[in-house]
Amino acid sequence: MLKLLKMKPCNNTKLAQGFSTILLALQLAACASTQNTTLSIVYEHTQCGYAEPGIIALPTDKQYTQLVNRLLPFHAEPDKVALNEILSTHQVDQRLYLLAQGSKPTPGYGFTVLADKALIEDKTLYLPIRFTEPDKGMMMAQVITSPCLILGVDKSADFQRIEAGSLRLEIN
Amino acid sequence: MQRVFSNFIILFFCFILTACGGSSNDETIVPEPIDETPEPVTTSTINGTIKVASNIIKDGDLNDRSAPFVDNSSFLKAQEIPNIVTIQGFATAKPTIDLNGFSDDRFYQSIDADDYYLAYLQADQVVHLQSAQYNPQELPTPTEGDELYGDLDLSLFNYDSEETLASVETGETETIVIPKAGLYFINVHASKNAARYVLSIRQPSSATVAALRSSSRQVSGDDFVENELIIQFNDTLQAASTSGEFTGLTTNHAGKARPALAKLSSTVSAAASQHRTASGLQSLADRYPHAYEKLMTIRKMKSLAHSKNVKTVSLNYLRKPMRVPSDPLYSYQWHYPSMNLPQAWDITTGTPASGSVVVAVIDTGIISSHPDLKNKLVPGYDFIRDDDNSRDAEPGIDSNPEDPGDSTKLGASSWHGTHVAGTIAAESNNGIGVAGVSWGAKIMPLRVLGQFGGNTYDIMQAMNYAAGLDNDSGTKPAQPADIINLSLGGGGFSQQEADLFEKIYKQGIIIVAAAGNDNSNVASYPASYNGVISVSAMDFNKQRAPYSNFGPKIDIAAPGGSLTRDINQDGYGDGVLSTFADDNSGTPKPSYVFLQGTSMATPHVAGMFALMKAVNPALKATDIIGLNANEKKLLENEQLTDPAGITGKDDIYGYGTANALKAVQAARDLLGAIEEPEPPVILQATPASLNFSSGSLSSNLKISNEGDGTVSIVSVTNNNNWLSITELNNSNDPGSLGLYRVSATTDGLSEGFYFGTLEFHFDNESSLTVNVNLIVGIGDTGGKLSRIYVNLFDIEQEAVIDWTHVRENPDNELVFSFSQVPQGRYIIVAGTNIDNDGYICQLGEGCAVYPSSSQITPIDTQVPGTIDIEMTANIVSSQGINSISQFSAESALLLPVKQAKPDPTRLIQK
Repeated sequence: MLKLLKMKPCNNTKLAQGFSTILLALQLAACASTQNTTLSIVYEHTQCGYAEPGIIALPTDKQYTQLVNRLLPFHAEPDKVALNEILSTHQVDQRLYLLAQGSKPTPGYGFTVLADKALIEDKTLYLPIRFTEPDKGMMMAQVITSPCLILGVDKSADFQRIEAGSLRLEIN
Repeated sequence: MQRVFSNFIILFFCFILTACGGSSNDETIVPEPIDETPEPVTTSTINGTIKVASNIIKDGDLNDRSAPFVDNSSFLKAQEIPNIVTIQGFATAKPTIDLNGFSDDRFYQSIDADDYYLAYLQADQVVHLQSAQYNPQELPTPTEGDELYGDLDLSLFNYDSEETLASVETGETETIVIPKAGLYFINVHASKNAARYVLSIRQPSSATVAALRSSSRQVSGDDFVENELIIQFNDTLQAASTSGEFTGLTTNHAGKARPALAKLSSTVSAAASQHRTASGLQSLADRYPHAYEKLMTIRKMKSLAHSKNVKTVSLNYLRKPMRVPSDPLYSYQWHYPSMNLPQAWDITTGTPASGSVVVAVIDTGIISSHPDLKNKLVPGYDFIRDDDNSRDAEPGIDSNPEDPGDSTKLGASSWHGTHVAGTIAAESNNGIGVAGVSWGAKIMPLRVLGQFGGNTYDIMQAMNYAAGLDNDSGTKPAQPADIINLSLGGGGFSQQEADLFEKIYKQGIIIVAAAGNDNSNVASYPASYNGVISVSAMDFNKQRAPYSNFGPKIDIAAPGGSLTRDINQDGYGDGVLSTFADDNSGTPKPSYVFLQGTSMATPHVAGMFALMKAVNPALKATDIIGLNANEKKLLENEQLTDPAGITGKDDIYGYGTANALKAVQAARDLLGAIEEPEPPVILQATPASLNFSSGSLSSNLKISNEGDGTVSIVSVTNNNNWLSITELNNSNDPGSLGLYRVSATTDGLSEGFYFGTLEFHFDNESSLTVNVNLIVGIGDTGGKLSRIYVNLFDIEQEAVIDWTHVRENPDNELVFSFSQVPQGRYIIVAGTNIDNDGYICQLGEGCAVYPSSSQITPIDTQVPGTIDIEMTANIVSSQGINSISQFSAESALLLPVKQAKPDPTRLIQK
């Protein structure tokens, strides 16, 4: 697991790419409280069935059956039980979030988690995620994929929204 | 009837004015009587003999009380009949009304709802029922002339099985073609009022049978759900039910806007029990309860078909002949019925007569241990040169096409090749997992797609390998692929690739490729190369899947699925379900998953072509698709597809949506077209079939070869104990392979029709079958009718002046005599009165008329003496069913004849 902390700009600023390092530093200095929280990659799959991109807060109880059936239809029961246990185990001291990339025309799309910690700033959790896609010009299988990633975030972390690239989630 | 009677009057005057034109002159020359001399004899005697046309018999229980009575009203009392016969019969659902005033109807106070016959019938024989004076409507208070208007139903029961055959015709005539030889009960049932009938069993005629089969509305008991009908009312059920005809019916709704499913409960009621006893069906109900229930269902349907309260009614047919595999997840594979695969599986499941159809899957490789694939593979190859891309243990290309996964992350690999292969040819009907399109096809896994995808060069190597061409592996498959599936795309046009694809196409190998998932009309390769069949994707509703590419390069559409919707309500998004793997545990384990994409549509088409190849191994790519749009092959002629969108080709579906049933039928048709033109051996029998009867029991038979090939007869099979065959010397006929004398014997055979075959076997393993028909004991005459009443009609007086009925003389001839017949000209009309209604020679009754077509002048008694005449009686039928002796046209015009006064039935008491 990578141990890399990626800094993110405050979400109340409208920084465009290409701003100078000095300007960024000034902005960071002006930011309110920041903190880090630990991330865990709980599960990754290319056929999650989510047609639209987004972030979903998974139930806080232990009833993941519906999700497991969605992710593993027709899989052997032990596999489903195993995934349910994984989710349940992580759920003890973590909140689980599913990141969906939406429908993609081929395989080769997915997520790369760049660090095992994430920055929380101004109640916003910035997930250190890079969206991957296939190299242009390659012959690809013509199957629709719907990559997803389930991440675990410490329950102690205090945030009200999540950002991962273009993905957003407001937490009530 | 009045019109016919008018015809009779017209004809009568015709006789006077033409054939009998000299009568008045004759009268003028009759000498005056001389009082002193003994009164001269001025009268004549007419002695007649009536011969009954052959193969005619009578129903044992007619309404004419004077006719001999044999009860045939139940299975146990079925009347045995030959299998070439015409029967005059009578049945009544209610006591008849005594309209002749003499209370001498046999069924004046009882009913004769069912007549049963028993006959051994040959396959394809035709059983035909004609109701006389058909009227299906209920007549609560019939009056003279309508009491014998009724409706009769025809049904058959195989003696040795539970099979019920019934006609669902609701008109005047009903016809059933016998599906297989056997002993059958034949039931004529009066469903409304009473009616005479003509029941005939005819010799099979291929043309007649084909026409009847194509139009016949007969059903077997296996065809529908017992005690269920689908009814659409003209009014609400509540309003309609006041008639009482719906008693015992319960429907799932009472509206009239749409058909309702009605369940019959009447068959278990006390009234039904009484009916069983009364109708003679108790023994059927006891022995074959389901056959009984099915029969009751048919009868109820036919009864309601005539109800004014019913708009339409039909049986609840079982649509079942489609072959359905036993694979437990098949019920989720909606995408197979969507392209008529179950119907196609009735024709072939993909195993050719010899060898196998091989489909190359150029893809990510295969999970070879998958239980639905492990027995379906032929050796393949891994053509991924780049080790990083390949992710397998072997450097460079290798002979192991196993899929190690195209992702470094557990659970993130596509297992794409495994899914595609499962759609084409997952092991099917094996009680495991899913079914494939072709149960018999083999998969050649060729690996070209790794974790970064694939490239043109590797794919070209795989194409070469699949086609049995030189390639970088240095090896070639034992059997080149028949079909190549490319569920991949991307990049741009490559001239080398285009050339190779065209070369392989011209080699005859069918290439199928995915149109792409970009929801665009940009040409995708390799799908857009000439000679490649480009497949777009449909959803559950046969609409373009939202991701599917479109445009002028699309050739055909097939199910690719759309996981965003669950239209079929099976609890899962409507994707394509096939074989998959799960490596979350670290090792790929067999599993199944729904996927969507043109990748999924493509193997449906590849599998469909595999089915076609199984039917027609000679099928080539050049038969399927032209190299350019001007060439019209099966695809362009829309012989593989259902039309979708606009007529002809469109940008969404190409030439339409894939229809596997049409495709295998087209392949089969093409097979015939390929084989017919120049067969090396054409075997011929002269005559083509043999027809024997009592007067002609032997014939020569010549077997010859009209083709260019050489062949000789090695044996002859004759399994008919009434047939013998002897080889004759054919040295004088060099074109003959064999000359034979074929003889039949009627010894020990009862009257009827017999069918046999002679099979000639040749040294090229072919055979030729010659059909032999034999009719035993059916000559020109010799039939049986009920009592025949004879009427002497005076042409000049326009009246019946005497009447009698025939009697049987010591020589078993039917004879009659009129004495003291005054001078004049006469017509004799003789016939049966099976319904006892006071009329003879009506439809369904026996009839003989003098003069006839062979004796065109009336009886002339101007010169006193004794006149002997001979007449032939036949059954009156509008269907021309009496092939032995037809009525002449002029005789037909005389019919029916009503006896004014006195009623001929009085003759019984005379």
